[in-house]
Amino acid sequence: MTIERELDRILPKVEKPARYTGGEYNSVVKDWDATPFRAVLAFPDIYELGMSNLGLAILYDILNRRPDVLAERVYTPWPDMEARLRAAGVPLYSLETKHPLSDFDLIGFSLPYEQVYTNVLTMLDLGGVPLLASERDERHPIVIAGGHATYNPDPMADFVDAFVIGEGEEVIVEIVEVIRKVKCQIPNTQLQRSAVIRQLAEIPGVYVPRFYDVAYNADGTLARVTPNVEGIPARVTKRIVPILPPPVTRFIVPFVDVTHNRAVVEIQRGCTRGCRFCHAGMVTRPVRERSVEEILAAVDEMVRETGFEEVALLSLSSSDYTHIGDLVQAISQRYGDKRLSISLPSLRIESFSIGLAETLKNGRQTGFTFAPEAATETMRRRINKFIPDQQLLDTAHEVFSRGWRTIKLYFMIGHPDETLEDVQAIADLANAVLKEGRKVHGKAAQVNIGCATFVPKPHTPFQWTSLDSEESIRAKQSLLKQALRKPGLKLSWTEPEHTLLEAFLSRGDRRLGHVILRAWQLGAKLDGWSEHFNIGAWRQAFAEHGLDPEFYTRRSRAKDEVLPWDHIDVAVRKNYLWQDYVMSQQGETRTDCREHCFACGILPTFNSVRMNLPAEAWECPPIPLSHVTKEG
Amino acid sequence: MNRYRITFTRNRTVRFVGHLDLAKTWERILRRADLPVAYSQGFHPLPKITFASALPVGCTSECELMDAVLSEPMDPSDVMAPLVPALPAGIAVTSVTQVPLNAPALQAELRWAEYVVTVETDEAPEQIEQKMQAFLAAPTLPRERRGKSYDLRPLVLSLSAEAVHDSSVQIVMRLLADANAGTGRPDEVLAALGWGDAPVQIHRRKLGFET
Repeated sequence: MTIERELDRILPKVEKPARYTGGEYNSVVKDWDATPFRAVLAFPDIYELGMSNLGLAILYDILNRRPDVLAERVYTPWPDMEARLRAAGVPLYSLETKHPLSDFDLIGFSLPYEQVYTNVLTMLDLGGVPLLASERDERHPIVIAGGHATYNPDPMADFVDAFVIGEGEEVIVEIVEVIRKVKCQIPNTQLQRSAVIRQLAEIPGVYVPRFYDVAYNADGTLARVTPNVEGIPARVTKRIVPILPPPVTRFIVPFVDVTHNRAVVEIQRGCTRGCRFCHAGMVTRPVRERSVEEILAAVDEMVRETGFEEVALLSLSSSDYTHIGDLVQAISQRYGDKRLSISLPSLRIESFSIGLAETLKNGRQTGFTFAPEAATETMRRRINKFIPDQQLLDTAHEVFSRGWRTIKLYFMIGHPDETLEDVQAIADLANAVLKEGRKVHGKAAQVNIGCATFVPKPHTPFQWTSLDSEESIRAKQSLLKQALRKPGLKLSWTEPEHTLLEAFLSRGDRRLGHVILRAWQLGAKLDGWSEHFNIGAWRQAFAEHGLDPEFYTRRSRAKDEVLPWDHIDVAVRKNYLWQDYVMSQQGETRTDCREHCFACGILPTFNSVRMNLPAEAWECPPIPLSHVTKEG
Repeated sequence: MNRYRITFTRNRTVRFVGHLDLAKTWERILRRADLPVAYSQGFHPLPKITFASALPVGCTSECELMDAVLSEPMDPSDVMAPLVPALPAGIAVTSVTQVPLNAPALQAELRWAEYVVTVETDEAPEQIEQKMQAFLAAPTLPRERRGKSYDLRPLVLSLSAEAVHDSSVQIVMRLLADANAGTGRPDEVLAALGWGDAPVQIHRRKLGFET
């Protein structure tokens, strides 16, 4: 109650105080004293972003369904709120029951991208939890983390007791069980804490960094990462759910506007396209679809349970969902006149997509988004995303003809071996698309070009490649800015310093823990927000620790180099990735692996899981069993 | 078309939800309740709901009023029943009545709003009384808000201390809330009384309409 009292003084003085009060419809407030296990799910960025994160919504639902467990939420406060909390000596608290983070048994961080790392430190610090895992004792919660960024966990190893590698739906429950069991068996001492952490390490898919020693070569590269206690696996294999569990429908309904103010249903998980730059596409295999019936029932329930006016059908590549036509037909029949807007992101560049969008159209949709990613044949082959110009232009023409006035195009610069000619082609293509628009809408046609800079990611075929040089990035960006300065075109891009931060954190090793801590001490926070971005703090932190960001970013790795994430097994084999990398350099592409299995490694790794499933449960094509062999 | 008047309360939990966000919240409540809400015509159809008066951010209330137009005739109790489970914890519906479709808009009829304010202060009762008298006796009270100067005095219809405790005082103020003549803000009155930074709880307890 003292927190509540202090909040009465603090909240009137901060921006958007409704972010810090909770009480939203479908939030779950349980009896603190009567619930034996208490977890807080932490999103290390602001409320508006965290409320749009599906992963945490799923875990919140799973944990709160259990009568003996409560799960609450916490987000990163904006700096004005942080300053007020610090000044008043109020710890960072959970939204549901306003308990300090330090009062919970478990803190679970979602780390979807690297720019949130310093916010984890802010939240632990404000929440009264020691930053370093090594400094926590039996009085402190167990701190775990999961999410896409944790497929390379070691940069955050100093701050996290245990990482969840892979999908969390099953493993979160196993983690809660282990902590509860040990706490019942052993009195509350340091012994209890070490027993908990030791037993967490035995759960498949859980990576406990303290049980691994990292050795380095003289040149700074990794020599090896090895377990330092008996019975710990040399590599931690990611967890998957064999079949997608029933989708969450009781989403929390925010009072304030948030980034994605809507309900979502994941229609499929994984992607078979094999784009070589795409981290999500590699780490979320195999592809599992939900049935049309299940999706429809879920949408029905979401509308009833949340009242949201928008539902998004989520996947990495909607067009690849087997029954997409049927699904869209059925949804529009059911909701066509019900004032429900359905968004269907990630559509392929083809006329079929326009039909889909048109069926779902309800007057509010203003634009159409496509992601060609590259504009020349060489680059498209290199990244294994191949859409001929004519197909894009034809599709664009049709989009404009059917009434849309705006097209958004996503490209990336900085693909391996990209030249200025490849970048000029992006500008030419954008201009050509605008020309199609002008034929139909005249000056009202608009083409927005989002041009991010490619960052090589772990567990992808480009994990060995160098980030483009800063000089080259700037040259390419200035070319685009020149060539796209024209009414009807709008360019957005990523500042090279932001790219640099993402790049060194993405492929960093355990030594980056010192850098992250130091940068945070020097004031780095909310690194994803340009108004708070502070590359100076990071450069100084690197220098103080005798490390060089360029080592992590602008360096090609040799085939046999030990990579900082080699002890994390996403079931896509390193050999496969290397082969794909070589193919990229030779301009060879791979087709959609729904049609033909390229033996990425998923099937042998999860052979025993697959054996017990109906053949159609995964979108992997049937292969002769003799080809399924266990290999590393 | 049928018009229903819904009286609802807002407690501490939703005291920082602004007026536009509250309207959005109500749209969603009505969708969850699956009531046949009528929508406006046009490219951007919006549900036909209107509120008597925006509650200042930070305040609680027991007397919020809104009108909702439903496309089907319903018994008020059948409007109320599905609302109850659709409400977030900080909002409660206390009554639903049917009003004529062509009745004047709530906003047009509203004249004043009454607030009960608890201020944490250790000032003596006489001192507080003196302050109030001085406030009421002043012919004008020029103030500035968001760069605009205005006279606060005519916006305050009455002001009195209802109860004085050791470390707090309860004040009742009736402020003009009139679409034409102006609307008084309780935080402005508090600031004019020198309590701009004091911890306060502001509760709206009554809305006054032209009868």
